[in-house]
Amino acid sequence: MTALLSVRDLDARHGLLPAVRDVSFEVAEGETVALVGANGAGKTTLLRTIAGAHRPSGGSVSFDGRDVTRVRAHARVGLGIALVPEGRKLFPQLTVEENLLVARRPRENGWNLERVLEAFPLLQPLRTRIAATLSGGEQQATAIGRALMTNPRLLLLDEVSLGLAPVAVDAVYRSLQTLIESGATMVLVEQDLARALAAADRVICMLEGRVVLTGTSSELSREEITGAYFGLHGVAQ
Amino acid sequence: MTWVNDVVQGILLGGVYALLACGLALMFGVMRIINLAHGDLAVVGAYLVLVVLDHANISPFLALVPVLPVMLIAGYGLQRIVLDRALRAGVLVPLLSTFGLSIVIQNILLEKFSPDVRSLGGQAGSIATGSWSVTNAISISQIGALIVVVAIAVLGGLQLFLSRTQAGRRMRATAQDPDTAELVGVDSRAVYARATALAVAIAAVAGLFLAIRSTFYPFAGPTQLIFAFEAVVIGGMTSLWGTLAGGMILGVAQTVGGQINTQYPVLAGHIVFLAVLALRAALGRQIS
Amino acid sequence: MTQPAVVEAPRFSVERWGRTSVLAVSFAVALAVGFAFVPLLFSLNTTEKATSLLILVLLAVMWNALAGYGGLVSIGQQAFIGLGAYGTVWLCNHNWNPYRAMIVAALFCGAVAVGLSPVVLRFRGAQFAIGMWVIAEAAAILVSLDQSLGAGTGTSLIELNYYTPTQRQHYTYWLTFGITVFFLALLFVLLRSRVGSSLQAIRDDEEAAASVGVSVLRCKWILFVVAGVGCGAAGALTLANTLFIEPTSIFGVDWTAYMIFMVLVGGLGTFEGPIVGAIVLFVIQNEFGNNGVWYLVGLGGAAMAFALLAPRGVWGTLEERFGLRVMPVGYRLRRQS
Repeated sequence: MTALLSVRDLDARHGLLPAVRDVSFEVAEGETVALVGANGAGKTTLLRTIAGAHRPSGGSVSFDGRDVTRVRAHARVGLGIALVPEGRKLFPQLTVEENLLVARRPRENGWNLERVLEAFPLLQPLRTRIAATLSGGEQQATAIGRALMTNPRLLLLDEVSLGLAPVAVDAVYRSLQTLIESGATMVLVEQDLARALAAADRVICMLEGRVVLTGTSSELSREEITGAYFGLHGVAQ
Repeated sequence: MTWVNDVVQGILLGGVYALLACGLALMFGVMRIINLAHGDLAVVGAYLVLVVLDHANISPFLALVPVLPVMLIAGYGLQRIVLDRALRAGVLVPLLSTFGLSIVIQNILLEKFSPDVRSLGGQAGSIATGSWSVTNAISISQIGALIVVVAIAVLGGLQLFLSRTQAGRRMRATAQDPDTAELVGVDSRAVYARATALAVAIAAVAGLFLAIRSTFYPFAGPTQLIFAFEAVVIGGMTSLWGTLAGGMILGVAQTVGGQINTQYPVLAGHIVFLAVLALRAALGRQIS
Repeated sequence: MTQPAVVEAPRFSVERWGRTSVLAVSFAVALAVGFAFVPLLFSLNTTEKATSLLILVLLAVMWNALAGYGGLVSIGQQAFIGLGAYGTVWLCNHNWNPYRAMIVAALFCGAVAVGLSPVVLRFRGAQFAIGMWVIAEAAAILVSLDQSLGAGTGTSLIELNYYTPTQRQHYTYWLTFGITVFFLALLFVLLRSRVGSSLQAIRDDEEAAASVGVSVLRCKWILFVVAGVGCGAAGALTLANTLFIEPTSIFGVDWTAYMIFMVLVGGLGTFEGPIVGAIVLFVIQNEFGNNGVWYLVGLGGAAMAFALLAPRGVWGTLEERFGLRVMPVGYRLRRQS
């Protein structure tokens, strides 16, 4: 079975500072992978590089068998990669509806404005509200909805629970669960280990830019992951 | 009662400034580029109409029709070839690039055409000279009224484009956050190029009406540029209708100033501009 | 569990002067001293050219100080250039000695800058850039309305006729030399002082600088006033060097174009960059200045090319490529083995 996403020997830096070092992994269609690690481990940079927002300094990214390393971000969206960026990054002066419509990439039986609003009913009364006036949870729902409007085959989610009240996080994960059950392929970055293990099939732990642990959520124990997270005994893959 | 006439004349003049300012406002709003060649591009539009008129005995308004696609393509090319790279290199670079372009345009115009002052009013027919007398003291020139109508149409059309169409929405999104726009499938470079294309085409329209209403010559660009800037900044730089208002405020300031002393119109405009900026700064409002 | 080995952190010393810097500064001082003798060694024509070169250096350094260190992009410094020139004319009309008048006119420009600063420094970004330009245009109109200043047709400094041409050119050169060296030295000292560190912090990231207590407004104010005086001096000296001025050209936005060209070609935000840029512009003006229209087209095209291909300027690219730090305005870390 060829993987939907294949990352090989990926290197990415911020100026001279290496953020992603020699990272390799694959994601099969329908899989949900959790990417965990401390702040600064390189998770956001990795997701941005996969989405095309960041230029890698080495290695390759392949999507559906095709090398997309040199493909610009907007074209990757056309191929089916969508990123929900860290910090939501809604277009502040556009309304919720406009934020969703901007990303519109119609597909038969796929996501459209009505379906997204059905999936996130809390947004329905907020259609004409300016995005900058929304609460954290509402913004997060809009951001995920916006990514869905591109009808992605691979959904990348960067810290969707950041800065949200627990109740809001619950709501977000409930929607994500529905997506997972419908067979979506996702990579999600999550600080909350419990949620990550509960939502994902597989876990990849990063430390200082490298992958230090991977495995399915059932076979890895919390102690192993925590150890890898903090780099306590240099656990190898 | 002449004051009322001055205000009316000022509003008509404001139509010209608003039309000139429209393209400038678009480029600044979408890309934060201060296009120092904008006035010169308007003058290029006027000269291109002149070239068409040299080959065909038609009205200047009709002559604009073939000029517009040329200007659209020129604007698109300008963005993709020059300004895209300039943007990535820093804030100052677009400034210098457009200034360089301004010098290049002015001197090429000088070479191809003479330094003579020209006008398209003569070929525009009676509309260029006709006027309506509203009362004994107030008269409205037909060309002035036409320009205001065109300015409102262009600004309105642009506003509709930005708020109601998908392309317009994507342009606004790219203006607010180009990186995230890329992440939702918007080709930001193409959006920028479209914005510049529109801006340059609108500049050509403005150039045509300027040429009909008054005169033009190869170095006429920078004077128009500064008025266009003043209109944009007075109008607040946040909306296109603000640009219309800004143009009219400038127009009124100039005509009223001209009444006080015939040497003062431009100066009066400058003073009003500075006063508006100072007032805004004092009120602590950040408009940029 | 093994204990990690204790590793000694490497020691570093913080220095301002490296070997290159000492050489560079000695060279600069020697060059400056050499330049002082130009009128005595070369013809009047060469001296006039050298005066123009020094005026260009002065302007480039001033604009770089504003934009490169203060982040203040002004399209209107020609306001001060014009006011410096016409201030000199006004003073001479009131029987001042021309050379003293030039210095006072430059200081007057500083006063104008001080007067404008509470309003103008609150303008942000594009508003500041264009606001300064409008101020320059307004100043040009005001001057051209004044008959005693020659109105729109221009004026010259007839008081300079009291000197012989040789004296005039020599005194003009030495005053230009003195003022340019003064401002270079002033900037050098400023950059090495606490203000300098603040300025470099502002240049790199204004918000971050403010968050560590840098008084951003005060630093910008200093730069704005210094640039006002410097540009005013350049205007006065231009009047003395070219003898005739008129409002449209002395208040023209072309001056800004030249300043941006010099700074961008030389290297924005570096100390040595503007000097390099001034030399480049000087060479271009002298080699191609007589080719009329095509000279300007070439200049405009060169500006665009540089802007697109080497945006860090000649010096900036050199600094980046070779890790070059010539003039000691920053700090170096030296590892002690």
